[in-house]
Amino acid sequence: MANSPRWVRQFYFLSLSEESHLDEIELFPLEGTPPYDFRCNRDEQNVFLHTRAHSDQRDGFSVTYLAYYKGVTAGYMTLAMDAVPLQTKEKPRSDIRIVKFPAVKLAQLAVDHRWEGRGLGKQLVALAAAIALRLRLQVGCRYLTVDSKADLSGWYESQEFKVNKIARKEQEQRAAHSGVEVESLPISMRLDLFSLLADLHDRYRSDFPDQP
Amino acid sequence: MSENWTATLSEEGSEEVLREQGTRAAETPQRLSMLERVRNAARLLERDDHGNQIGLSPKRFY
Repeated sequence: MANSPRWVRQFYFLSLSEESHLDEIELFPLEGTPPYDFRCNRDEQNVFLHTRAHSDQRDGFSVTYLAYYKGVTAGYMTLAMDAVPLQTKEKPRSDIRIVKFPAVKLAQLAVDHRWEGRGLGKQLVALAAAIALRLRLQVGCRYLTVDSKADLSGWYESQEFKVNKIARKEQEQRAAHSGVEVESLPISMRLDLFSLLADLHDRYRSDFPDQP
Repeated sequence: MSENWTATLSEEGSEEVLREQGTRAAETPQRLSMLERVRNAARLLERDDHGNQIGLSPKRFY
């Protein structure tokens, strides 16, 4: 491949759907005006990036990271702090009195329409998890959370997220009172970082020497 | 799964956590792929650390 024309090499890379090409992607915290070239197939994420991401970041509500591939905006994610209420059965230990558990929220995740299906979303989730795993050493952080659109909850489940039952039940109650269809509401989900860390420790002990 | 982690959960954990633990122990291809992605992501954060413990340099992330 080294002597192939540039477009062939690029096609070769792009045709590899996922997993091993994080090195090719650059991630920058948003600065100033969001990139005009980004467009995903979900209006809400387009509107957020172009109208709220910068002001929310300026005001300390969240930080948005732009993923570039060869200078083109391929996707973005927005992270914020969160606190997730869990049922007794959902808690890491049944004797814990904490009601809301510390978390990092994956507040936004979007992939440009030209990049859909190439695994970038999975890579961004992994980056969010890695950032949250590091933050746990400074401030305490147990979960990575997300409020998923109903049609994407299966995708997040494939990324090891689980539905937060208390939050879902509260949503259902509010929806019943207000007449809103619960299916239209986002689904609160969580990824247990310590479960992840335990497996990372077992599998990649030199990279993750500390055991949860 | 490490034995210590298992023992802690066995003594104090809920049934649901133990069920989840069973899923982890299965090491599905999906789980292994995710672990590899997170490992790679963590390495990339380390690469740009330059002594910053959190790894969030002001401009370039990695």
